[in-house]
Amino acid sequence: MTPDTTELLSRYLDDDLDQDARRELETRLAADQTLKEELDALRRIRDAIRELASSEQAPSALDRLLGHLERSSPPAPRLRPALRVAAIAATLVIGTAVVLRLSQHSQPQIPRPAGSTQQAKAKDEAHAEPSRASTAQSRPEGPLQEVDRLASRAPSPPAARRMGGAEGARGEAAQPSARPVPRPQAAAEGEHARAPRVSRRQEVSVKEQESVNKAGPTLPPRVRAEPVSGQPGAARPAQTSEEKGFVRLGVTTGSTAGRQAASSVEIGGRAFALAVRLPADLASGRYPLHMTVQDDGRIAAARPALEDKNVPSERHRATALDRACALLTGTRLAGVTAGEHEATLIVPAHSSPR
Amino acid sequence: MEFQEVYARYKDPVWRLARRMSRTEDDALDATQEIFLRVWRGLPGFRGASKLSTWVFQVAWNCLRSRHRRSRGALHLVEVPTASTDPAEGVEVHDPAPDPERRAAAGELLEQVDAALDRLPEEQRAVIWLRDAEGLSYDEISRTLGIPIGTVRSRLARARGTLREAVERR
Repeated sequence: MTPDTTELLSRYLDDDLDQDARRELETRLAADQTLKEELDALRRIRDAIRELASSEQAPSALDRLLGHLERSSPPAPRLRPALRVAAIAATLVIGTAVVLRLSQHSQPQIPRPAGSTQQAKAKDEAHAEPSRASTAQSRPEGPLQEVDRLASRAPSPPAARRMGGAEGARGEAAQPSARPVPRPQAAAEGEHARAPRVSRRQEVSVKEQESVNKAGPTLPPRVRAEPVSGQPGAARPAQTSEEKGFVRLGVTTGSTAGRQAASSVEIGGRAFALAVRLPADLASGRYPLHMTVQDDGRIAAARPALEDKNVPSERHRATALDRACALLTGTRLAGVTAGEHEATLIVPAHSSPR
Repeated sequence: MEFQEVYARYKDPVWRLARRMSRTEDDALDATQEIFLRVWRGLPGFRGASKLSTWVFQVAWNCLRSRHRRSRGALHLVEVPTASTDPAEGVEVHDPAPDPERRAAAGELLEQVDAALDRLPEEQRAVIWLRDAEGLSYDEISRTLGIPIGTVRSRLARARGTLREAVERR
């Protein structure tokens, strides 16, 4: 049977021939038994495929895996490409304006004598409460008011970013406010110790402070990095889940990779085994995350913390980890208080290669 | 449309496509989960420019292809022997059943078609599956896979011809 004839029969089977071609083929079929047998064979194969499909249904495991998505609200639609470009352009313009204004304001502080009363006061305030100190220091000169005014015009971040999607993660990379603001121990233990959420004003005030530091020795340099646990000097939480006696529940994750041990999330010193199925291409390791937890303990949003060097690679993070973050959405963490949290996603080593 | 409705309506077709295009059931489960995650994300932006079924299958196909690209080489395809190759090579020979019951014969045909489908090149497999199993029109398959209708026709004919040969040899 030639390919042309097979295609003709195939199209006849699907009623894709025009009337003339159909009539011509039917005439041939009436005269050619081999051709008719060929058509019957193709029809049997088509019916077999239909029967194969009808006997195959999605496994119930899928409902369990995707149940949390059904309970969650979908993210807002992404911006259209043109709007996205406009948003990026607006962000660049605003960012440039902010940087220019801040650099202008840092210039006059150069000739200030070190150790002046005002600086000492500002220094104390900076250690006690960064936001208030920087605000007090800079308000007379007006850059923060300018920042706030400009920020109020800027579009709010798309929900996709909050959902931890790949687009969102890229957006976060350009957003300095996603990083934890360094807080001295005194502040961490003070009245604001339980409210680590970073405001735009705090972040800008840190930037402003740094520009002042570059310009002159008015204030001591500030520590940029803050450990996930909130303990200065520790790059990672002091204890692993195993050290805390966390028992892996044996929930199978990452199926095809053959992972036997459960992936887990450490948050607030507690570890939770995950029932969600993480992407199989997510390499084993510890991934610092930012999480927003709702009142009912469900994860409203999770996104990778960007400043961690232990993430296998930026490219890897932007794909598998973002998908993992999205999958965490809706997962309930019993007993975890509502609000912003630093967490660690722990993906155990594959027990057997794919 | 709510995600729940979309999920309820398309979970079986998407699962079947994923299962057919994946090596293992676990792979298919991972793929289906990822597909519906994409659907969940994209549904608010779906403006009805195409049929919902076409859009869902588009999402599914793009996801399956990107998964295959990510696993680079993990996709295991075996060429089905054609008339130009030695029929004795790599083909298991069965003695014809002396008096097979019709049901048993039908079951055997299903097994043969099932096995032969898995050995088809993935582009042909996708086309024939979307057409014969899910009943998509040529136009819908064309939109789903992003190929011209003429290519749909030729791939479908090649796939059917290959399956026909594979079944005939057994």
